[in-house]
Amino acid sequence: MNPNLSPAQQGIIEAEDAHYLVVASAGSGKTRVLTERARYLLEVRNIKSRVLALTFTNKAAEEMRQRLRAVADLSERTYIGTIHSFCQSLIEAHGNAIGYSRMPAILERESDRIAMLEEAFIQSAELSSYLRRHQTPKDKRAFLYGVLEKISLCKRDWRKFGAISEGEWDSAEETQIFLEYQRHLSSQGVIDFDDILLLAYRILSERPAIAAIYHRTYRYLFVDEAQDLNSVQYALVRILAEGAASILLVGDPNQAIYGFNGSSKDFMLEDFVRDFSARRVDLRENYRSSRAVIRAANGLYPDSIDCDSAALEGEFDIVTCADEAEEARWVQEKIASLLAAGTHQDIEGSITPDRIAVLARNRYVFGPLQQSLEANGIEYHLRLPGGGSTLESDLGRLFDLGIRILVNPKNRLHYDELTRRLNVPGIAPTDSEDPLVLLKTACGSTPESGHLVNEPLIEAWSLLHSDVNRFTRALDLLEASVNQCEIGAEGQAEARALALADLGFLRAVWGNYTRRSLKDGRSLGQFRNQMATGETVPNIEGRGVTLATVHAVKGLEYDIVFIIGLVEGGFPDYRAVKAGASALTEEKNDAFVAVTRSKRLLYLTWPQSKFMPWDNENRVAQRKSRFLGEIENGVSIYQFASTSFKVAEDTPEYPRRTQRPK
Amino acid sequence: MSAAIQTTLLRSGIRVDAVRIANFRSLRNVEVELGDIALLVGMNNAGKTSFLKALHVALGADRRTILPDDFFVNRDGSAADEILIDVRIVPVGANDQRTASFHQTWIDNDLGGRGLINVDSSDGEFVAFRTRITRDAVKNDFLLERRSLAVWPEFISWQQSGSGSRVPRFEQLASFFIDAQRDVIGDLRSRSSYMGRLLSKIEIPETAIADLEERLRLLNDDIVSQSEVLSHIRTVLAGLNRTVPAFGEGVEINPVSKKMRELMKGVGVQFADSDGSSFPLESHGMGTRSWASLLSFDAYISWTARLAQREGLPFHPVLFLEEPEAHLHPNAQRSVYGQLVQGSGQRIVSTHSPYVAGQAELGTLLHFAKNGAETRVRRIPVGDLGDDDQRKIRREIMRTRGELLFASAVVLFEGETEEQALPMFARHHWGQYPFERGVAFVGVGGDGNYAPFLRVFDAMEIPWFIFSDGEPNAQAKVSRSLATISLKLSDSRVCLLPNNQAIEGYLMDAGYEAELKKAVVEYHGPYDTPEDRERKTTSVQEWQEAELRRFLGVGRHKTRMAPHWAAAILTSGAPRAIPPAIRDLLARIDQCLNNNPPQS
Repeated sequence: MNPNLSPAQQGIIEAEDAHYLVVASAGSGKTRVLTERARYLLEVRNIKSRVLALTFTNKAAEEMRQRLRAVADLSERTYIGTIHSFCQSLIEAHGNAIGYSRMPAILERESDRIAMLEEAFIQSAELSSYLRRHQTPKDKRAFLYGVLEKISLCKRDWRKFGAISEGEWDSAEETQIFLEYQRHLSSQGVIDFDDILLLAYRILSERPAIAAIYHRTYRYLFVDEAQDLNSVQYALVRILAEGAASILLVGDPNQAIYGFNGSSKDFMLEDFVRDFSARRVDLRENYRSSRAVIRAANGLYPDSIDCDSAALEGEFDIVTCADEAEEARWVQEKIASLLAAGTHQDIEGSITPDRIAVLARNRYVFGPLQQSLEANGIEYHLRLPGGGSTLESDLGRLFDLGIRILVNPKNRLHYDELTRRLNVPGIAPTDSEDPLVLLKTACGSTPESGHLVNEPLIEAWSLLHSDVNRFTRALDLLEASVNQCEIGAEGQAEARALALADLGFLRAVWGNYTRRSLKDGRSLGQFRNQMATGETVPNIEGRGVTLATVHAVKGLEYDIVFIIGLVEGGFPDYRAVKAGASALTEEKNDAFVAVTRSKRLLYLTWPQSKFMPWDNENRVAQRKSRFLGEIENGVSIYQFASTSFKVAEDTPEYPRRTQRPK
Repeated sequence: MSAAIQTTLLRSGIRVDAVRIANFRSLRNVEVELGDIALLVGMNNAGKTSFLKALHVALGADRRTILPDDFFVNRDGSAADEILIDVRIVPVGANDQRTASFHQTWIDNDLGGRGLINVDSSDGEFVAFRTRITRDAVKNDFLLERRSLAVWPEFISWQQSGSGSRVPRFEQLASFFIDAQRDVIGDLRSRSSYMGRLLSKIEIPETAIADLEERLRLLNDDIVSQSEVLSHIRTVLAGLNRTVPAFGEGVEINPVSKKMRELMKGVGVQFADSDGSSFPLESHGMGTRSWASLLSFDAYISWTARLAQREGLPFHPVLFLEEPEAHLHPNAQRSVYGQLVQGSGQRIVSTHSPYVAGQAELGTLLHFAKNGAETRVRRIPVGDLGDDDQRKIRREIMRTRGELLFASAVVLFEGETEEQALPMFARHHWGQYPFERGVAFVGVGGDGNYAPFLRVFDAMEIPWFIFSDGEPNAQAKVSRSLATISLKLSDSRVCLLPNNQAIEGYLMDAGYEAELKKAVVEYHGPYDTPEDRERKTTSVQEWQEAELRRFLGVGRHKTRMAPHWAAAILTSGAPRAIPPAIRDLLARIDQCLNNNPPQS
């Protein structure tokens, strides 16, 4: 038995051949149950027959295939796909049985269907009068959409479809429209999306010999998201499942898209149970996030996620480190020990580097960690928004915008952005085509020298404009000017550090670019394009542990997540701290997103001090991120057992740690 | 093809029952129905090997076996754009008859999924797919794709039908090609040969290895101690141990490898002759080697089948075999068909052996011939023939005259007179022996039953001619026979001697009296002295016409006279050297052969 599955899940996965309805709530792992049963049947029971797994979306089908990809001959032994794609293949293979000698074209786009419907109206003298009632194009369009929706509804409900096809529909007008539309489709040799299922059903019901082939081919039938079945889809499931060895429907009645497109959870809850004497099994436990992760998230926004149904405990820890080198070392060692252990009771399957992510507010926090991972032979890759070309400091962004204008002086969009960033709105752009004149205008007209480095920027751009191969010299100029800036006031040190890091990054990118290009062949445009596509950005693609900025991982999930560099001015960013209000709320949302990227294990770290790039003698003291504080406070509210935290004892070399919650 | 092994094989449950080919070499547009056995007969270059190759490609052979020359060349010299090969597979039951539905094991394996299986209008299941081969101009290569066919249309419109989903290579329907150049010697050495593949799979249970190796050690000891030389070597080499202590355990002399794994690499096959001495295969003749190669294939197939059966998998081998008779003596060739019948799966076999073809069931024969540049394939409509007719065909043609199946044209006549004389005139006419042109002269026997021959030649479209006496009863026999294939005496292929005459009478009428008298003289020879001959000549010269006619009509003279008058006529010089009626027959043959020139 797989230790990462609950007895309830395991029970369904290994259940004897019979028909089952699994009613499960969100995150309860119902798709996993379905996938694991398929794996069990194919690998453990080694069934001879094929498995037919029907889903509602291509994405769900793809995910199932991905999860089962280790099964030998998967594509031979299964059909995993949407109901529509299955029906389409059925019509392709057997359409001739009901008179379609070739696969009819499918009107997939709504606009095509509208056009078809409109033609149907226009070509019938009687119907065209209906259309004429609607004067404006907008009215006409709205009317046609309404009709189309109604037609679609009829095609997704046997009762309605039967009635309107057989002339037993209440409205003679609607009947006529429906039939005219259908005639029009068939005269053009096309079908619409809904017809796919209807035709497939016709083949199976009118030619039992063909249905019999499918019955003998697929003796195991799975349906995911069964709460979304409509009556035509259920009829298909029923005719395909005749004589099946085992049918498994999984669904969540609470996720039903109620009534829309004729679907109803009743087909699964009532019809299926009745027609197949299916046994109902309920799964209530939530496997999406561990309790540890939910608690941390709820620390930021109390009660945002229900914790009671969570089935797995997971792990959560806040680690305070002396400096960023120690922080990097702790994360690297933790990753190494997790990988060495290979498994965790709350993680299904083995722990592999691709299931681990280290997140930070900006990419420069990763510097020490990258070194540490490389030194210890742990494979990693950077995942950055915008293909990795995004620069994070104000200076870096200005410089990059200037480069874009040098590449294309007509690019008003970038010119406007440049003036906005320079905080000089309302500059009338010159008519000049010379990018340097443009850039000088933007910088030179700045009222006061509020910006650190306008002069050096102009100088750097001028160098690039004359000769792209002077890129390094331009960076040198900028770096010198950055190092002369004051760092006394709030945020200035962070600004300088970010700027230096951006310049270092540009140096690395330029280095990669020059290594793969000939001196005479280089151009600023080519350099910029290669940076944008990520071609010349180091470590951008690949396998291993993911190192990502928060903005690059929205929508992704990892079993194990580290969030590092949680200090004031870092996360939240010093600029947001300065701007306050909505900018800070946005930072907090980002923190919530970062925390909830973890499914099981979550570790938050912060360095108590940092070395600044320009001074490796003296550490600069750091303050703990306000978000850490909120999480700590939130967590203490819940009073959970102290076992939910792994604490300092096992890592004595890091003495400064957060308080253990009560 | 050992009977002991065969009994363990299950019937495969399927059959490749129909094939349609377009534009593969000379196969511009043919349809062939196949049973478990198909025997391809016909002249060289008629398209038999092309057929084997095309079907082999369709059933999964490597794309790399395709050559530029495989595309049919149109009359204008341009090559066809695409090659199409459609294959239909049907389920068959225990009695080898087509059944309604495929066995579950086939659905669970190669044939299930992808909508491959379809039903015809009477709900009979079948799998059909099309192999399309086109040229890839860019890569200077060929593109090959297999797509399923939802219908199996009438032959007239088969190329138009659309095609469906991609069909991958079948696993359990395997196709094997054994060409005429096979030789078991090469097979034993090559790991990719059937024998090589089997020999690479020798497995001995772990538990047995230790015991076997211990016995090998003892055997080695025994051999060494029995051999004075080996013992001597061992003793001397043992001295090494004293001088080089690090040398190890000691010296071992192993006449036989002591490791099983090593031993397995050198498995040899020896054949014992009946006198008991055994030779390595290299010392055997090509016939034995060729046949051994086939047997090793059979060992491979039956082994594979056994493994499949163990796994609960279906297995349907399709064997493409060129000239199983190669290098075998006639009597061995006669037994080839019997061996083929015992094999498993389907066997599609090309042969040039009248002995092999002569043993075949009529229904298994496929006759290949060229019609211009195109191959056409014909078979005997066994279903339309009564038992009696079938028996006659078997007796009159297959058993004794199997070579007729390879003829380019056949001339039929009633008696031995023609059998003696006609080939002589033909040889004079063509300047070569008739068989060199592929023309056969066949006497159907005294009762004048042309029917079984006509049946066969008509069905197989082997050009035929009848050369018959003009007497009313002879005409009646020809007429009756022609009626069996719905033809009349007036058919242009029927040459009747005019004026109701038999051949001798005709020759008299045609003014060959002098030559015939000369023949009578020769007939009575040889003579001891020139005077004797002179005397006989004078006496025959004095014969009246009626007397000559009477003499020629006497049964016992008739046949034996034929070579003499033929020789006499042939020496009579140009326009007269071939009698007009015979010249007319040969001209008709020429006309026919010029339309279908014999292939060299």
